[in-house]
Amino acid sequence: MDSFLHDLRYGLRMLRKSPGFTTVALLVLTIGIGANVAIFSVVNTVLLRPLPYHDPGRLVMIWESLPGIGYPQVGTSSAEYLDYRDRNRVFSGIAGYKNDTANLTGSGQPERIPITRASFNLFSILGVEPAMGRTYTAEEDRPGGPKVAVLSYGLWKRRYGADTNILGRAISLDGQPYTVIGVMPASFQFPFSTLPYSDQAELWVPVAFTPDEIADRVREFGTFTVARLKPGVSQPQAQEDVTRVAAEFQQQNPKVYNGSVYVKPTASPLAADIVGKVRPMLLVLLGAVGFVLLIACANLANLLLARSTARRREMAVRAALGASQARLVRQFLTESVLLALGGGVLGLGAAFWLVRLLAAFGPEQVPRLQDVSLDPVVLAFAAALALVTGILFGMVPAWRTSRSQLQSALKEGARAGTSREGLRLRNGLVVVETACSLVLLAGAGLLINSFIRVLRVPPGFNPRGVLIARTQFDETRYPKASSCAAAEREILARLRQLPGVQSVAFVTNLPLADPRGIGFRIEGHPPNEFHNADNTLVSENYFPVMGISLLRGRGFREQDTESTPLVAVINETLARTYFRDEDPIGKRLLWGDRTPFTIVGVTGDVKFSALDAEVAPMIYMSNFQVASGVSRHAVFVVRTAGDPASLASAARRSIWAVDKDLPVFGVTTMNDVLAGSVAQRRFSMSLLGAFAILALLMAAIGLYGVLSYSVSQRMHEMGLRVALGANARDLLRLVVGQGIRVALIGVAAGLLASFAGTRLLAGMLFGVSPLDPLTFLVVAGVLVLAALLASFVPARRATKVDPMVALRYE
Amino acid sequence: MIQLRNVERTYKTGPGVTYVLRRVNVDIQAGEFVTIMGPSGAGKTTLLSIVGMLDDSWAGEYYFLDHPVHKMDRKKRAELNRQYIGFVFQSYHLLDNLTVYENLDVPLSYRNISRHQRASMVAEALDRFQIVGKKDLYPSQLSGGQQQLVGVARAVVGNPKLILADEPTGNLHSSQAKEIMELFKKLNDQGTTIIQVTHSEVNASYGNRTIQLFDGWVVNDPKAPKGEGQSEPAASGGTR
Repeated sequence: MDSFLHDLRYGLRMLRKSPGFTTVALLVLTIGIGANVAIFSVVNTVLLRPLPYHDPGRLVMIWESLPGIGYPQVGTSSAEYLDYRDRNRVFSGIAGYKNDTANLTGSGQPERIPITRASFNLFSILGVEPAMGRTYTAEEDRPGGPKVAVLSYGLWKRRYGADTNILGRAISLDGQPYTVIGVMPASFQFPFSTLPYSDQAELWVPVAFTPDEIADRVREFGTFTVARLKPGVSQPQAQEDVTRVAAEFQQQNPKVYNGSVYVKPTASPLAADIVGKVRPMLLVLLGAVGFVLLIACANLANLLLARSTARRREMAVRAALGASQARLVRQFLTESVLLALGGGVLGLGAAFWLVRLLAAFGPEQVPRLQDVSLDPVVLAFAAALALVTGILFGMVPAWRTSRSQLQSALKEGARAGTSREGLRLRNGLVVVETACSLVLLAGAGLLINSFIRVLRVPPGFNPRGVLIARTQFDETRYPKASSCAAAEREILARLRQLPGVQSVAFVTNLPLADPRGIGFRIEGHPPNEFHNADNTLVSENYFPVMGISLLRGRGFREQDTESTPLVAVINETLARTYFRDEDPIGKRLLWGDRTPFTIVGVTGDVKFSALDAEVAPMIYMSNFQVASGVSRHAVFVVRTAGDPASLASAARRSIWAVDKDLPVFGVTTMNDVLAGSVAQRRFSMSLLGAFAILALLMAAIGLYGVLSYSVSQRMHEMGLRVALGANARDLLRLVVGQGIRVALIGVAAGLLASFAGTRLLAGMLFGVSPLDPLTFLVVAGVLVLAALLASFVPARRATKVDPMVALRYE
Repeated sequence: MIQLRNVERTYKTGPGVTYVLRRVNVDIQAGEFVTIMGPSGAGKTTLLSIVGMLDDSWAGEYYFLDHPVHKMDRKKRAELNRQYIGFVFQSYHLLDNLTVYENLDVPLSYRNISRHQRASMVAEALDRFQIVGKKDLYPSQLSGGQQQLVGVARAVVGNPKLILADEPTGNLHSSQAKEIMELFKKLNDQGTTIIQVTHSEVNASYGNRTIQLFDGWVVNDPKAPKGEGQSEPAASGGTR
């Protein structure tokens, strides 16, 4: 213990004695450990920390697919949910819910909030008690039951100022009074916005399925089901059971389920559904910061090696005075672990800020990003990381120094360090650094390449100069489609009069923002042959306002009303897929129980669901013909002559001028919508890019350090070479050549590692292969260039050598 | 071959300057074997460096094979060095990480000589110094005498007209020293001009002229240029 304290004291003194070295080492460690702790804390919260429910591992979601129509993942219909609920043998509880939005009015500006209509047992299945009041009962969860609502903690705090007297208070949802009966705890979220078709609910009300909702088994698959497995039941058993239930209800309803209409259920773990999409990205980022730390370690090991060479004499004296090899190793390790712990503390500080940055700028698609914190698990991780780091970068120089022929150091003094072996070791470390940075650069390069390609994808519309404003018509004040239509027309008229506005239009589902699909049939085709298509309802003028090209026929007209025959416009892909050589104009589509829609026009393809997704068949319908029962969501699209953002306030006022209680939200430019649709891609690209640049810098600094050191150790040799006739260019070539050789070996090793590593990125790439030769060529070039720059400074110094040094050195 | 006129070399030391060489006037003809002697600090090595064109910071006039070195820039001086001069050092100064063969190749690699021609020149030197069997060894695998032998071989591999040797036998025992000095004598007999710096009277006896330096002054030179009045060995060589 005493000798350990002695080592510690001595280590501290040595670090204090070389402030330059200590500062650089701490900086490198802070970056390496900070980045790792930050990303780990995200991984810890998002992937490792259990969901905020009781025994979350036993919760599963039941999804269905409609393979005959081409929907890979939908919810269930209400009737199907009831079948799963009543016929399963594997769940101890099963809850159904629907995601919705509602206009919350009274006390402050009207706002649209995401809400969840859920069966009464949702909370008990999730195993979460309200923070205040109660949740609703089976009695309240029935058609015509009392209108009660449970608030989220966030809504209670934000909108009602955390009013402790909120229970029993009436609030207005879509114009109807609801009584607040409970407030959920702050940690409670359900559903997570990363679940398909979900937003993070701010309020829960009873689902109270009406007989009408239950009657049609296949009209809508918008009921979602979460269930808790009985003790001892595994997920495969649950899968087997839901498959059995689905087979039963399909056999019992042969008229409903026939032709292309049939469902296949999937019972999947809730946690996997919530984090499934971001898991690969987070793991890639964790791997990336791991590489950054590895590079930092190699850098530090190199710095320590240089120092240890300078301290060989000290070690020789210690050995001569009786220090054992183990003792010498411990002396070195104490110093390096001391440094690493210092770096760990600073790294924690850096991670604290990084985490805040990530929470502020991270994409919505990463669940619980706002909850990321430096909890005890993260602290333990940081401590372990610092310790391992210290041992990792301290081991090499410690081992080398203690092993070397120390008695020669006593005779030769400091010059003994220029051995071939020492140089090889240091070069080897730089090779590791270069290889690691190449892997990171290649990964970042591929993501950047993909991102550029995604941005280059023509969206099929012209986003420039377009302003978006949204509202939602509630059923109480706008019970009929006609009342909505009248308000929409009035708002359009007001928007059109704003100065700078060129044209305006209306749409229910905006490309890249509001996905929506329908199942349809084609008149004259077999009656059970269903197909699916993206769908949106639009006003006349929508195509010109959005800059969508009309290839054939016509767009919608003001004369297309509820009293005129239904018309539809389709996209090129639908025309090509289902009509091939025929002219689609005049053909008729069947949707639900409505009269057939006559195709009157064909537009160019528009990227509707995502820029990096294939264009699906698309059916546009007139909002003023079929709005009833379809959507109460209204998006106003305004094409302006100047900067669309400058019209935002005027657009809000125009809507409120028609109805001051309408919530106005999502006022933004179409360019921002476009940018938002690639936010997750941008996020992972930016982070990986930042780590790659960090890695490149550290590798370059590492190479610079090694060459600098090597040149300083070889000043005598350089002088001698000058005495033997070398000129500046010869010396430059010698040093730069040494640097480039090391870099090239690193590049070759890195390329091999990347060929294996970039495959992990395959799912995140777009339009570029994980082995894209151009990307690899460019990143290898960047690395070689960095190596050239890093070599140049020490090389220049070598050329300044005074040959007299060589002659005087005796 | 060499004419030095009023060559002076100073070092800045704090606020003042220290004179290392004072008004040196020396003529050396081709084919001479000149020894420079004097106590430590007399300026012997400095004089050798100036003659070898490794030192740029001196004043005075220096003609080498009628080229006015004092008017040349560093690059041109290095060119002359490469073409005509070979060095032998007391500590051999072989490059540790290169084999004997590669060490001999180093000076040639800095001249515009084809790889093929270099190979034959190195082979000839190896042969001439009878070290063919050691061509793949590293300096650390050779004895001191062998290392200096390689050092001399490296100095002559490019067939220089002038060899500058700074205490060439300082690290060798007497039999090895004798061998090296015999070698110098032989080279001199074959026409190579040699200037050596040494403390050893025995070594000096191999040459045909000895120049004595003291405190930077040439105090004795049997062939001092006429009319250039060799300066007094006054006690004036110290710091001014």
